[in-house]
Amino acid sequence: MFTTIEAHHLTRVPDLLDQMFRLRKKVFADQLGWDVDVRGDHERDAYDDFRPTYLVWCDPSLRKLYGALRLMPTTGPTLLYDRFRSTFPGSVNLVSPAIWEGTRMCVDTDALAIDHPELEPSRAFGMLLLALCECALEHGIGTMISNYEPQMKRVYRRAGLQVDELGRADGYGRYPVCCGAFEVNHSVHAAMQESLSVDLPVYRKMMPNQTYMPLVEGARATTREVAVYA
Amino acid sequence: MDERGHTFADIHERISLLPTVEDAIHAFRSHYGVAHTTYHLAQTVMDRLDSPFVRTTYPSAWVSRYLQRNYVKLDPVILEGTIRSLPFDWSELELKPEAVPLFLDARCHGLGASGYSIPVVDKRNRRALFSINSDLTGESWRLLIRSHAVDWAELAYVIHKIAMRELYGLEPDHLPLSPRELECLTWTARGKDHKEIAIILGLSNHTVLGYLKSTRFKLDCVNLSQATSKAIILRLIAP
Repeated sequence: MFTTIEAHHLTRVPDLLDQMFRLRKKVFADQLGWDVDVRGDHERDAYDDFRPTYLVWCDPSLRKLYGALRLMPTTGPTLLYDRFRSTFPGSVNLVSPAIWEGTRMCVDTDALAIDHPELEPSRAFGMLLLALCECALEHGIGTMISNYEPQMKRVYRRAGLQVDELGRADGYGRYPVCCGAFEVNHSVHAAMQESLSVDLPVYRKMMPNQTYMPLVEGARATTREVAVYA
Repeated sequence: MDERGHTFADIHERISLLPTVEDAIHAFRSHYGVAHTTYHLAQTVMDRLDSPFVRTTYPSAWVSRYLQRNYVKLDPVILEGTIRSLPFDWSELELKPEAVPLFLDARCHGLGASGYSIPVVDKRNRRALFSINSDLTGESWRLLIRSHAVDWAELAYVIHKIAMRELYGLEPDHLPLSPRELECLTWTARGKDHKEIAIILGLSNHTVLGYLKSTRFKLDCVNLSQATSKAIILRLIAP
């Protein structure tokens, strides 16, 4: 399932967060070679210390992580604003309650290969993007900004998403890092659903007591989820 | 530029000109016909020593009751709301058994059954919570939120700026406009719409709209004509 973990939930899902920070280290430090803060097995920076919201893809019992990204409003301190402002002075200081920043977006291809072998990595990434689009729509967010490597553009396109590149910079990793924006509205959502052949919502808000759900309950995946992953 | 038309522009302008948060939350309440509104600045660096800044339209009997019973220690709206970042409906809150009497008591004091809160976080990482309480329930309540969520988020920041002015006495500095934002605003001042600007600058329509949305927010303006006149007065642009 795709859901959001907010600050008050963080202490209840320590395993999920541990997996997320490990995955981020594996993806951003080890594979992409980005200049990120590595603390032991974790990639974790000052913005995580602000206890932001994480959009996570995990199993229904909230124990196994498949993917994640970090969400921050551009009205507050944000990574791209602080870190990339000098590199993209012209473009990366968008500030509005309707513009949010999504960073450290990644999927765990190993975990997915075991639990959802039918899902190709690029489609998996597309599903996470679709969940991001739904989460943004649900919360009145009209624009998302994000950083990514140039080759990701193809993945975005395959998910039916039009990302506008605002700028790109060298020196953060092996490849340039781009900063881009995409619009969120119902027609964007419909285009993504069509490209990914998904016709039901994938994202749902974390509702009360969901984190206390016993494992047996969680193991019973709904038909809706089965349909989504298939 | 706003398809929702005059009403939002009116209330935005009216609220931004008000001197105090007290005035602002009352204006908000009467404009949208909701039961109550509250602005709560989260405790900052000094934590417990620092008395929180709260303004509310709740009846004074309820406010005294709340303080007397020290409900703030139980209230999930505050406990979760001051650390959450996405706007939330109160039905999403974790209701611990010890907080149940608080909600029953609130109903006895005439508070509405539903609520929606918007967390505010500014560039200095100051956090606040703007909450709306309503007698509506079910589909009509959800519909009200759906149709106003974007505007309410913007107004929450307008009220936060009033609070900063009221507390620290200073007119908050405008966030600097980026070169792209200045370019888009200059072309707007020259009478071009976002589609023409997109062609002139070789950007997509959506990117131009994003820059203009951000420009408008940074200048505290509800529409682009207000933003261009303000930018000309501040000598940010010279169209």
